[in-house]
Amino acid sequence: MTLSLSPSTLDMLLPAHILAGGDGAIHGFGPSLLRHLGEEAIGKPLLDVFTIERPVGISSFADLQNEKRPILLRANAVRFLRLRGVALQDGSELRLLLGHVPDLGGKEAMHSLQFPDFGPTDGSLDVVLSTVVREGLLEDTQRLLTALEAKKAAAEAANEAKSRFLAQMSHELRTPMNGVMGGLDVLVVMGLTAEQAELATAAKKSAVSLLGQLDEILDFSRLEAGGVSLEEIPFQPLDLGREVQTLMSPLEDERGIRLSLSCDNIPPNSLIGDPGRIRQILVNLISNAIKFTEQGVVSVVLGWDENGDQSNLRLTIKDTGLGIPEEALATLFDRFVQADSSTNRKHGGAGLGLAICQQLTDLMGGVISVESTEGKGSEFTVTIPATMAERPAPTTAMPVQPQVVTDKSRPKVLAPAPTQQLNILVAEDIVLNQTVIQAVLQQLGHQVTLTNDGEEVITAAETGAFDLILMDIQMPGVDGLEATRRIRALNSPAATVPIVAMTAHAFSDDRKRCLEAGMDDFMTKPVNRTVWVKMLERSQSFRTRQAS
Amino acid sequence: MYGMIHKAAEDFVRVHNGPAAWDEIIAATELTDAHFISGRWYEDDVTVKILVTTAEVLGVSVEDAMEAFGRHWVVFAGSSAYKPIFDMAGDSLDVFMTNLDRMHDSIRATMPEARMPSFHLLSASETELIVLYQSDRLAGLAGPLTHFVTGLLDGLLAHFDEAGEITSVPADNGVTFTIRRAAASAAA
Repeated sequence: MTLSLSPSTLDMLLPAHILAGGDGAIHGFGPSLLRHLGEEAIGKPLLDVFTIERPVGISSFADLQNEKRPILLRANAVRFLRLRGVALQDGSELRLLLGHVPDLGGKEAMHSLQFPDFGPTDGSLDVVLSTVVREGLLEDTQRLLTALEAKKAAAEAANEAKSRFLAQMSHELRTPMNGVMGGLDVLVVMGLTAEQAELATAAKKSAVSLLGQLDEILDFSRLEAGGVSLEEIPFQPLDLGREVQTLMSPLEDERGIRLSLSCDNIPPNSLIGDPGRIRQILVNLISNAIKFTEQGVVSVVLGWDENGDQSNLRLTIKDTGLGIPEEALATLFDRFVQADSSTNRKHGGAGLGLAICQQLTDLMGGVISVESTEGKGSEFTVTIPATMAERPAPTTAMPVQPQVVTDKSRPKVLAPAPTQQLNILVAEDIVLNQTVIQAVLQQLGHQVTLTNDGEEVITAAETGAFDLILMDIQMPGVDGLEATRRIRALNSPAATVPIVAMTAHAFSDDRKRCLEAGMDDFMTKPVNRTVWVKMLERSQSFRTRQAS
Repeated sequence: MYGMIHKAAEDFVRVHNGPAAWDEIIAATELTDAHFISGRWYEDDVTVKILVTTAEVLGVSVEDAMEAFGRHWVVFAGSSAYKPIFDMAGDSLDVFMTNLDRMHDSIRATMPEARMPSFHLLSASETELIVLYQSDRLAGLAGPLTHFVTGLLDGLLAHFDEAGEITSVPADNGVTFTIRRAAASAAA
């Protein structure tokens, strides 16, 4: 079969065709090559105008005439022009039936070729357009990415500002509360009349309650802002349980509720996790249990479950209290929710405690759940993934049998009976706080020297002989962190005096910064009398350690 | 339609009415995701909602908004990353219109879900061009699309430094547009 095409049809189908004579000279072009190379190229030897890139080794027109394989040419004068096709002998002439093969990476080809350069069956045009479209889409996606990154950065900056605000608010709220609670602590043991003592105790209870609400709101806000990071440190769960039990004892004393602590399969090794956050969950759940129990027992069980590769610390807090109506269980862990409005009125609270517990549990990859029967009590269970430290916990192992530790005969006010009178240097810039701290410490039988800022405390430490330094953090001029670093750098005995932070900066990062600066302990304002006594006891061990 | 249309609509509003107007339009559409991606396919409902809301917020008729958007579409496509395609399609209105279907066909290789319209150049002379526009969307959106194409052809006239009058009449299988070139318009 012979297919005969008119010149115009050939131009339309293959706009980049070439016709060469038997002598190798170009006799004609299709319209595309005519546009790019011009009429002046006609008559010139084909191999002067084009380089044959494929097949390799074609160096003469005679070679091309005998070539049956596809050929690839590049125009010597217009480098972006690459053509592919076949060479067919047509009588004495050679017809090269070609289409464009644009360099897709080269902008020149993209910008110079036009639709008429491509025949209607030439898919190269689709590839060229596809390349342009894809580049456009990529640019578009890149712009979107840049915009989203900018938004993310703005959101992070806003979040950071919010965290800073929360930290500042925490400090600003706790500072005056220190004066209120410390003052009341001093007042209630000053030999008041019964009526005065009752009023002072009521004021103290209100202050404690207010502080609890502030802590909840600040904690919750911080969790919502994503500003809470977890620690991964070794801790012994039973020590943690005992610590919480001691912390909660004033509440149980007050209400006549017994609080029991026991353990189930707790390993002797320390666990790795965030004891501060686990303590917070325990305190919240136990406080709730005590709050909603009129009489009976609140039992806390610390357990350890191993299931294949997964190990969990289990906290179970069971009470014999009001119980929770079934319809309230579904929303119990939602923020600002309490079981019903009447309990809200009776028991108060912002309704954030369980939401905080759930957020902290989620943050640690754990699960919190509750089972409850109205009128009989509730049981909250928290399971938190944890790993075991390699070595057993060092010292404070307690018996691993269930036990009731609480005793109704516990004294309600700790007696001011120091084992040794201490000479204490205090750095505190707020006069009200100075007054309260001085009163508490003197009431506990210690000597107090007051300083107003970092410079003063460094000078006093260097010139005096002190057993303990209590250091506020935020002070004008040299702050407590810098003052600590400078005292630790002194070439005198003052460099080894125990330093305890006493600050309204209440977050775990603050504690870390204090310890890194060289402090030995950390107290969060407002400091109550119990905490004072325990800290002063602990400070003896700092001194013993340093002496050894 | 592909997100490229929405990006053009956004550009249109931002250029002519400012960023706040676009934010207002997006808020009014109540779309949950306003980050349009050019290469992603969106339901036509989204596009229609945006364009109708744009008209409402800008206080113009849908017809006027579509014409203005059609003109802007040429500016957007002719000056964005897709400009090389525009340039390859021709350096005169006549050639461009001849190649428009081929352009759409080739772009479908990259945007396979696109329901591209057809522009068939029925005749071209120094005085006028006659183009048959066909789209499977005409059934439900004949009015707005006719105004969009009117704006688009007007934008193309401007792109190729021409001016003229555009009229349209419904045809059996589409809409026929007549572009009377400015010199011819003046002589008439």
